[in-house]
Amino acid sequence: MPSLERSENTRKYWRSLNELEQTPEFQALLETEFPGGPEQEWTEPSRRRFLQLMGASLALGTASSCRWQKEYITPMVDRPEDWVPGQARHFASMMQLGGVAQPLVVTSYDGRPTKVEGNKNHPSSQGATSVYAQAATLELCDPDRSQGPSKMVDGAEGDASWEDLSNFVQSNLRGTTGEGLAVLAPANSSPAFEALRARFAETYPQARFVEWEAWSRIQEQEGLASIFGGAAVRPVYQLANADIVLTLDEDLLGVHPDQLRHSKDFATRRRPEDRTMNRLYAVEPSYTLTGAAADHRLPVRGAQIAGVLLAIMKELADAHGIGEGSAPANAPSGGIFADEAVSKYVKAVAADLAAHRGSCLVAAGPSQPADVHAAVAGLNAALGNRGRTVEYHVSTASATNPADTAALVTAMNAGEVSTVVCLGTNPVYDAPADLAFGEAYAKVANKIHFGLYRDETAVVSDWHFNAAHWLESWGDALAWDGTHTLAQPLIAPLYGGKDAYAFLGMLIGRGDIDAQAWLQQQFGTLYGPDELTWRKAVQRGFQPGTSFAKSSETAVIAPAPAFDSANAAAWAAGESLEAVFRIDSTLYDGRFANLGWLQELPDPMTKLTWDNAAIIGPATAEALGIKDHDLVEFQMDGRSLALAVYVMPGQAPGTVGLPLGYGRTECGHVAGLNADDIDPVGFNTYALRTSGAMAYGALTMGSRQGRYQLVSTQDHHAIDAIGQSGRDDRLGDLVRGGTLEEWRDHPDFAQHRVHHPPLKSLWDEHEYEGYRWGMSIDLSTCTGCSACTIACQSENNIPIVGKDQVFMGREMAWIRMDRYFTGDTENPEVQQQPVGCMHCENAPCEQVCPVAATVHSSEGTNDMVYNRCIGTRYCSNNCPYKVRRFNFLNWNKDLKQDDAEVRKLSMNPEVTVRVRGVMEKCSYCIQRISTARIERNIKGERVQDGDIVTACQQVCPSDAIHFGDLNDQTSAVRLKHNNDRAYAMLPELNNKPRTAYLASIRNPHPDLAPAYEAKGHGGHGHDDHGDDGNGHAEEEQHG
Amino acid sequence: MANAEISSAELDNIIDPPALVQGKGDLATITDTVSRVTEHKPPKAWYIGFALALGVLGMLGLSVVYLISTGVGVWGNNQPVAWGWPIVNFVFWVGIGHAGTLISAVLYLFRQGWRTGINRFSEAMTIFAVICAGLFPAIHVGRIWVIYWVFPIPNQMAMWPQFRSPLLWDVFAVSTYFTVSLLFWYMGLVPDLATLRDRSKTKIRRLMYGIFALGWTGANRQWHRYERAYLLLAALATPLVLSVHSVVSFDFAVSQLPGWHTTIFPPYFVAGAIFSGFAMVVTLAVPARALFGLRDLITLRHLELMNKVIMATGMLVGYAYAMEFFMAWYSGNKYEGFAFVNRAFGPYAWAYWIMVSCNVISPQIFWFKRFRRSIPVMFVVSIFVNIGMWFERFVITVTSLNRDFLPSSWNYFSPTIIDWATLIGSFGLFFTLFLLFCRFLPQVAIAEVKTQTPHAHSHAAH
Repeated sequence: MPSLERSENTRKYWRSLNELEQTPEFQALLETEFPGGPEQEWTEPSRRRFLQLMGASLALGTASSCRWQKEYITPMVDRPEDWVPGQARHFASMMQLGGVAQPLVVTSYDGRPTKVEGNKNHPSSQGATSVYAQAATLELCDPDRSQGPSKMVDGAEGDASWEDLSNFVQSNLRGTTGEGLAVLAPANSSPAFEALRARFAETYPQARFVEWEAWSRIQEQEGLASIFGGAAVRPVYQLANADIVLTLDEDLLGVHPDQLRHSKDFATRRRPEDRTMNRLYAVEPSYTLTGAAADHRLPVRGAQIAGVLLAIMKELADAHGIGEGSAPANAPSGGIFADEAVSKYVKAVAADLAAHRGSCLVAAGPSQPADVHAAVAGLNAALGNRGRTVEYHVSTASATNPADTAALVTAMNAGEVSTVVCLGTNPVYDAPADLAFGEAYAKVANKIHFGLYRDETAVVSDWHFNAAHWLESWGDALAWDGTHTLAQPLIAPLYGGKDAYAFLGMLIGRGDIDAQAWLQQQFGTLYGPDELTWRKAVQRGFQPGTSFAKSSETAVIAPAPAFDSANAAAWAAGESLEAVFRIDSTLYDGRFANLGWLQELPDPMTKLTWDNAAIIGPATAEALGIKDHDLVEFQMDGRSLALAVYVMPGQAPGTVGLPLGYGRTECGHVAGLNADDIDPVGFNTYALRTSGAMAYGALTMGSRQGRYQLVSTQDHHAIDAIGQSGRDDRLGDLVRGGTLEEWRDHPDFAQHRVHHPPLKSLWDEHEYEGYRWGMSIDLSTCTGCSACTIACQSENNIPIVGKDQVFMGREMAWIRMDRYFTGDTENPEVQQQPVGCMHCENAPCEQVCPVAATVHSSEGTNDMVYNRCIGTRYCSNNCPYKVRRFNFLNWNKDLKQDDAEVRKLSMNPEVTVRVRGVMEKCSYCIQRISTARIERNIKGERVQDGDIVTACQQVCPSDAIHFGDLNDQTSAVRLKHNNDRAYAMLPELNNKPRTAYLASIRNPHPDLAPAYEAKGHGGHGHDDHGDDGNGHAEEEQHG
Repeated sequence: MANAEISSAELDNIIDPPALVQGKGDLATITDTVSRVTEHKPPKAWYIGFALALGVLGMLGLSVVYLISTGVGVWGNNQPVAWGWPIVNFVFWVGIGHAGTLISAVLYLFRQGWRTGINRFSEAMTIFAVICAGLFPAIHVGRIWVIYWVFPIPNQMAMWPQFRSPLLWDVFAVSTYFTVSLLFWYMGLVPDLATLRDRSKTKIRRLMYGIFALGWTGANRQWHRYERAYLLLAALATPLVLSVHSVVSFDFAVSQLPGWHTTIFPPYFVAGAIFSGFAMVVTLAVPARALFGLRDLITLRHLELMNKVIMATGMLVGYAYAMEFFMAWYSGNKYEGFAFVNRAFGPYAWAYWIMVSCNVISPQIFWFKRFRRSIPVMFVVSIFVNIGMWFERFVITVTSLNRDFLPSSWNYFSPTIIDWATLIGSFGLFFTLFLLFCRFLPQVAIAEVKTQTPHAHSHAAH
């Protein structure tokens, strides 16, 4: 890997090791691998789909005309009495993922939900959302959603009706004790559903009701139960109180259900001017967002994490006298523990934890065995963290146990089950491979599937019934902290689907349960039958003060976790690898696979789109003799799967990261559909995952099977030595960052990274006397979660382009997340940088447009006039930030197809859908600026700080983005611009960007980091030029 | 002046160059030689060439139809390489279109008699090259159906083009250049068209040439006016030689992209344009003079003189390459410095070294008279120069764009089959027009070349 060689004396950045070879085989492979590309496939006119849609429309039309009851949905912000057509209204709602409520507020235009935001009053959202929630409007309007019940007869799909289900229940289930009946449902923390489940159990006492989730936190629950007297407790972290955080493969800022609150709290401790900075240690095999945010990351194999914990416990006990009761007799030795870097790390962590008793935190991830969780809880107790940085709450929502599903499969195989109802689950796709769920399922006489899509399970079921989307239904669930959160429908079911309450009601034989009535009734039993309470809760989106009670149990002292010293060995070529399964950061467990936005959203760490891959560290890949884009067969426990290799710095030696959720065969025209010959996107890693290895397992590498083109948005192509050195040379100027120590010494160090001669403008510059919109992005708090990218996509009707077009470099994201590595390839540091249009005051794009299609507004925004654009693309060439995006082809062509009519529903009516041949780019959410300005103008007022929230700002869980009027000296964005850390990117070009970045500050442990003096960029520390007070304007050339 | 009767051929070559018109060289022969081409069936090779050119033009037509109906995404352009081959082709063709005006106007003003053998020919080449060049910016835009917005047409929206944009300057510069070149060419044609008219044996020929001959009779007064107008047009066209390519270079130089943002661009582009234009003239003249029996009018001496120009401008271009590097280093601007190191040693190094080999190294062979006068050598070198100059524009356009300021946006550009089809297709357009010209119009300026005959000079000597 010659491209990685560099000199040692300066801090250097680089992006990844992605080496792309321009061989003809590759290109040929690309051609054959994606014959049509997903976009094209949607556009296939199909008589069948047309008839389906017509049928559904007819049914809907009829259904709407004979609706009996009027239903009211209560608005969150605007009052219904002054409802104005065409004006947005906002309703609180909720989406449940993995049994945890994600509180949301949905924007609706005339009955069409178009945008999802977080519920800022709710403690676990505070206004932000996950990437998954952002794509909900696309999911609602996905033409591939199941559009009606169907019955499989001899492998052919026939029509069915909901009546058939009633008849089936009447004839087969009613009156029985439920023997042979099994329901396989996803995790669901809904109290109302729980009550219905109790009815179900009453009606069918012998029926099985099993919960299945591909990604479960059962080991955390079991581990904590073992020391909390058997109760199901849930740790709730207070990162705002933690000075020192140690995560053991726990992605607190990434896929953790409480990620949004964590990010918010974490961010409060990453702005050095606000509060003392925390320090984050992350021990993990695969690079996560938490690892990226960490001050010190230790990449170790999953099975070694317990050993690291033991070493830390031993060190704490021996050197600091903490937790002596549970510390192991001997610290693990040999292997990686003989490595000086690891022992230094352990000592530093232990010293930090000991020095911050009561204000530190240790958190273990769901991949870790129960005894690690128990020991971590014990450690937190010994450190006095309980009640300060971590609280254990008695949870009524228990984690799903894969063993239950395994037991069900055993029963199915034994012929004990005659009817299986998959109530929103897709076990044929995502159950552990060793269960061979599909085979067992085939033995069941009556197989009923209920879900949003006709998925892998649906096509092998006897019946399929279509579910309503959460935007179409009432619902409730508990947030991570237990807050009872409510969902209300934003639109009548597009395809007449039913919600889970109604479906379970039908199974019970109660006929159609009206979810709203049921919910209100159950709500009444919990909080009193007062109508107003209910209405307020619906309006608010949740019932306040309903978080789980704190456990009063005193934890028993947990024994030190078991650790097989054989696992301590450092990996060497020839030994078996460790598979590290992880939930995908964009597709979750695969349920969102058909959402093009999420498929095209680059993974925050690998930047891969439209694929998962076997993620392998550079040294490991070299030892194995494989490189990027190799298609390699991997074997695990007798099963094999060929995967493309992606070499990712920071992946622990000897491990192979295997994101789940790809390789769907029955999903839709985006993710893969056998029936229409649409190849699956990515690789189905569930094929390797077994009950014994849900998170980690031994993996062996088989033969190379050719090449497979992976596509990423950042490292489209190879980086050679020249590019490498050019990048190293400049990145310190573009992405500025330093250590806490450096910042203390020189708070404005970032402004001195680049020195340039005095800047002169060619023409008289405009005075901005009214509003002067500007943005600030704090690199210190940004975790790189990419929610801004997807929020922007939803808000601004940004199309997706498909894998082949991303490969050509035509992705359309208006705000992209640039990710750079720095340091050692095996254990690099990562810096994320969101980049959107900077709205330069001297915008270089404007001066070169021959038709004045991109012009400045009086408020200083750089506006794109789509109507005027003729598409010379000169503006893009002259943009130093390359934030402009061009409609090379008609990306919205599929909207013209009749079966895509429904997709228009999800478009934001405030934003033009762009035609081919025009340029587009971030507009600072100009439609939101206008809305706020109009509202204030009507009242005769000036826009106030906080009136305008851009989509990226609103969704950002770590408050990294601020927007407002720079002329308002008290506005948040003005204060950020005045911050010492603020700098402009490429200021020497005299573009005067309106977006300022705030330099990233890290807080390294002195023993683990190189001395501060050595960290200057290109030897250009602040001290170099003395205190002449002339700052960055002095006539000095940075070279 | 040359006196063929008294000096031996060798001595004559040393003391005085050979006459610009060889062979029998009397006025009637010249008229006949040139006119005959349009009056008789062309050689078989013409038909083959024309069929081929027409086929390639058809390919261009199809790909343009596909392009316009599908979108410019059928090319390989991407982010950050928003300008790819179409702009490369545009600059390439505009460059080719330089020699004509230079030969006609500048050399005319400098009284370089040798221009007469090749001026008609190269002016035609200019016109056709500019047509090819004009095609590319037009089809290159995303929405060709509104491209008229680049012209300052009064409209109800009161929307004007944006006069600060170099692209707009380009529109004016290229269209002015085209107009003046066309006028200049046409004016020069008038006496010859009249000759053809007078020689016509069919009605249709008489009619057509008659219309375009504008009633030319060859009267003294007409000649007088003609010479005046020609001189004026030459004076008008001369600054255009410098301005067109200077303005084209502004497309690059005015932007702030490292590798484009250089003050050397205008002279460098003009030198490059003359270089490539002369090379194209040689490429075309060598087969044409053989094919149409014009060896006596387009003589080896003409070709040798052109080769000297090629060598000189090639070295100018080479100097510009070197100076760009020097300035990139001397400026101390790291982005600029990187752009050039990347150009020569980065992923597009192959293109850079093709460019240097073709443009700087290959013309050096013309230091030797033997090679300067060797038809095969000059033909091969002229092809090399054409290739090299195309690559020069490729190097400037693509390598600067593919790695600019932010490394996260860096991307490699690969052409698609449509890129190839439009590039090759533009040669189809060029050669179709050129072969039609060869067939129907006098390839050599009959009237002008007569002034260069020994005959004419012996008269003058009296």
